[in-house]
Amino acid sequence: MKRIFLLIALTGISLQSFADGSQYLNAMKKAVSMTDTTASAAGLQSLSNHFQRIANVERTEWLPYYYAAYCIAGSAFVQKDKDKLDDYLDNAETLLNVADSLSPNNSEIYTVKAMIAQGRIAVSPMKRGRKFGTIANDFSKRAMELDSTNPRPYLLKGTGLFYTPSMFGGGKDKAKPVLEVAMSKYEFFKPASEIAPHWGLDRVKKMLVECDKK
Amino acid sequence: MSKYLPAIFIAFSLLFFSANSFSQITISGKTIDDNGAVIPFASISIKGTYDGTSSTENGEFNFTTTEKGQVTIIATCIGYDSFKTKVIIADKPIIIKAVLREKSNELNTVVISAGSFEASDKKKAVMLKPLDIVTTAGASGDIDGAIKTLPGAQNVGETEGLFVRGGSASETKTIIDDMVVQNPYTSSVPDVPARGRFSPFLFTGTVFSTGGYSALYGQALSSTLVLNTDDLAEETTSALGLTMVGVNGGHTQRWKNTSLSVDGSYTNLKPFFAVNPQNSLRTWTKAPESGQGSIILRQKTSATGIFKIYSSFSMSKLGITFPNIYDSGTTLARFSLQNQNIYVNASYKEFLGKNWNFFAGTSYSNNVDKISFNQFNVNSSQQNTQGKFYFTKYLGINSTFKIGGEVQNIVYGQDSSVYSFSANHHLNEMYGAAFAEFELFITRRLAVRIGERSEYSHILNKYNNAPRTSIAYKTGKKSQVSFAYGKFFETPQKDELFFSNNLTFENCTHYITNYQITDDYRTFRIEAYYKQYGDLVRIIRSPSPIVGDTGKIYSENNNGGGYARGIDVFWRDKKTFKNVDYWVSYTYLDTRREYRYYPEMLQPTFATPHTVSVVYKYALPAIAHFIEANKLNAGFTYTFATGRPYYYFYNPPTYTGPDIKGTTIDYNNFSINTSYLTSIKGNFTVIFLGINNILGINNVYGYRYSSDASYRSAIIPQSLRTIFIGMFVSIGRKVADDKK
Repeated sequence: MKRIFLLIALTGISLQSFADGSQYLNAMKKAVSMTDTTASAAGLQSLSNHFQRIANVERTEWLPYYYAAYCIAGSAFVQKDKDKLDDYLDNAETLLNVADSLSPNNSEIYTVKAMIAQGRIAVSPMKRGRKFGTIANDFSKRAMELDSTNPRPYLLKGTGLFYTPSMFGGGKDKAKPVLEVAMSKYEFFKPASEIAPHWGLDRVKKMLVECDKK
Repeated sequence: MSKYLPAIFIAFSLLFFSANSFSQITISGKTIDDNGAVIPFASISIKGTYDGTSSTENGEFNFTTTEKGQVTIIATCIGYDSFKTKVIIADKPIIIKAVLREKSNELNTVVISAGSFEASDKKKAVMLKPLDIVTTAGASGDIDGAIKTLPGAQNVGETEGLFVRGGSASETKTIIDDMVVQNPYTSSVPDVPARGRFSPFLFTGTVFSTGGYSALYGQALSSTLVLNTDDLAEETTSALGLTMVGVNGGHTQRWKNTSLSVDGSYTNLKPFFAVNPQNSLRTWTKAPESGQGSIILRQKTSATGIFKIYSSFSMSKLGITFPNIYDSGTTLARFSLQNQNIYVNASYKEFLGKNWNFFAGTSYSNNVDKISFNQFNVNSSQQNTQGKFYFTKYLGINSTFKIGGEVQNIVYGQDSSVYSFSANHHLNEMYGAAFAEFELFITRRLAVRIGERSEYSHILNKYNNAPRTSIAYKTGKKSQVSFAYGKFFETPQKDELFFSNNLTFENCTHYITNYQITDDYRTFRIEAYYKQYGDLVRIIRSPSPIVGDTGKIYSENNNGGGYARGIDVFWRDKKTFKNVDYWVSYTYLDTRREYRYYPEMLQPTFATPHTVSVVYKYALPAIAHFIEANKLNAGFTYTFATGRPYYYFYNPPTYTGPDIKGTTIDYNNFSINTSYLTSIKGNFTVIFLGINNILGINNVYGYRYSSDASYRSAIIPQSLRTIFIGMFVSIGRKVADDKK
């Protein structure tokens, strides 16, 4: 009798998880595809809200948290109101820390950590460039170590160099070789699944074009 | 077939949608804050489901759900506490007004601001960051120089120190990492202001308190300058500086939980004097020369604990001659000075758990001056040993309770000789204090700070009780009013203690009220105060001459007193003009006191009714991307102050005429500076140029009289106009540039 109960219970659970699994995948696919086309701060904020709603249900999946953080971090770069940046980035960091605890030593998560650090610089470049430049660099380096095939840390590092004034050791000339490495890695990179991170190729291309402009 | 696929897909999804829509309920509403203002882009969801949406720019939202029964609706937005409500979904649309309360932050929470100008990286309001200090024209990279552009401080150019709100320089104490610094300034020559010993780059936070300050500090009747040092250095780097007055270099090594900085400098003012013509009546027999070294260690002892040591050692020498006032300027006075200074400050902070935090610190300083002034030789040494500790208990949001104590031992010796006479004075002071302070945020709009400090001085053999209270109330989104009351005590100065052993603490009571409006870019504040001085030391001359700098014997008492009242106005604006940061300070001061040699209530020589400072800074951004670097900074500082009084008193037997009283001409100074950021062989480099008093205006700080008052000499700046050029190179400053 006990066995039957157990069987029923297990079937119930697996059915449940099967149902939820497909719901999760569908919701994520839709949302992830929107990350490719959303560029406005408001759009990215709404999209992050969407990922957070998924995350609040799927508390063991790292991807919803990851994307929720990624969208906010991305919105920081197009956000006009710089006073609010720290609040946004704090929020992104909180979400990303959850992702990090669910999936430790994940190259993609470290990439977004680097992105958040770069966002912090934007609040006050003169005062923060030095500190957060170093932090961003450390995170992208770690991301590279964790997965050498991941092109995104190279993109982040290249972005950092691209926007760093040459007197602080940055500039287009320094950025270009790093972005070229990113480019070559994108050629071989296959996302692990439909909802796994795949962003960045367009940005690398755009920045490489900028690098060649004099 | 493929042509029809989309159509089939749409048909199917419509079918699916409509089949579903029978049981769908619409949830709509608005997200607003507690003032009724719209919150755009908030997230609304049903707990435990994917269902939800984001509100629009107008705060409106609208979504459908198939959930039934009791559910929890959650609305969240960055910067706000989340909103939760339970609703029962039946068959009717649901309308929700989601009111989110703004999270407590520095802008929407009241701050205790009466009497204090706080500056740190976190608080954006009124601040002087290291970069602000070094880019303030006329400040010459000196902390005090920049502080003097804030209201409350008087423009005293002939001596070092901060003269705040009718208080003398000894009424302001410099505090580093919660411990008082005995000799914050280098030793100097009469009528030439000394610089601060500490570089502005050592500190992350500066609080300049013009009154009503916390019970954590004592022994300052007027003001405290509280400096907090950096935690761990951010990175491994080396720096090299080259200026007209010398060279300095340093290296910082950063490990995971440790950082160590070693710096050294050599200063010689000879080249500087060659470029900047000096007061023609004064001749440097030895241009100031000094060597200085410092070691800074930071050790993270745990995730929440940090141990800090700052230590420095310096030696300096100088010599100058100037007309001897006692001989009516007919002979030259020869002055020379040798100084040795050691300063060590160690502190430890740790979080103890259960909302308790612990701080312990100790400091040691030893200052030796060897002065020869014509036939006088004075050797003085001062040793100060200090220990301080306190516990902080966190009581909910922002509120704290602090309790602690401190002890100080000050050993002072002065041996003076002239011809065959000699005089030796020794003091050994033990000072102890206990303090407790509540800082309570009753609501976000109302905060109260109540503190009590009790002090004991061994040399006076007296106790005192110094209550302190501040209240701040937020009157609007950006505005607030504050009030402060406090009682402050100070042990009389060393030279006053030599001759008397029945003195008591000097005291001052502060009443302050302030109003301020602040946002991220602009600050306006106006503060009115009244200070009542009591028990100030009076020195009574008696006519029989003996050895000593004025040749008189004294009797002393605590019968002095006085008052100071005034209004300070401050306006800073970083927004109105693109790339421009400027501030304007106005200080009105009305003060009288009877103290030291003053025969009656007088406006002190360091005080003037009106002072205005305008500081203007322009930064030209080099690159328009998100990492902007200000490649060129340029700025000016203009200071105006009304004339200051000068006196010479009836002084038998040499002078028996009436007291001489006068006021100097008004003070005007226009200084400029510029800095250029570039790179030399890939190393970050700053080149700077400053010109002080560019218009060459003749300023007079006061007059000195010969003993029979037949001759006087004006106290004027050592050089009329000064030009200062230097460069600073940061070697190996790495920004995202490690070799692959």
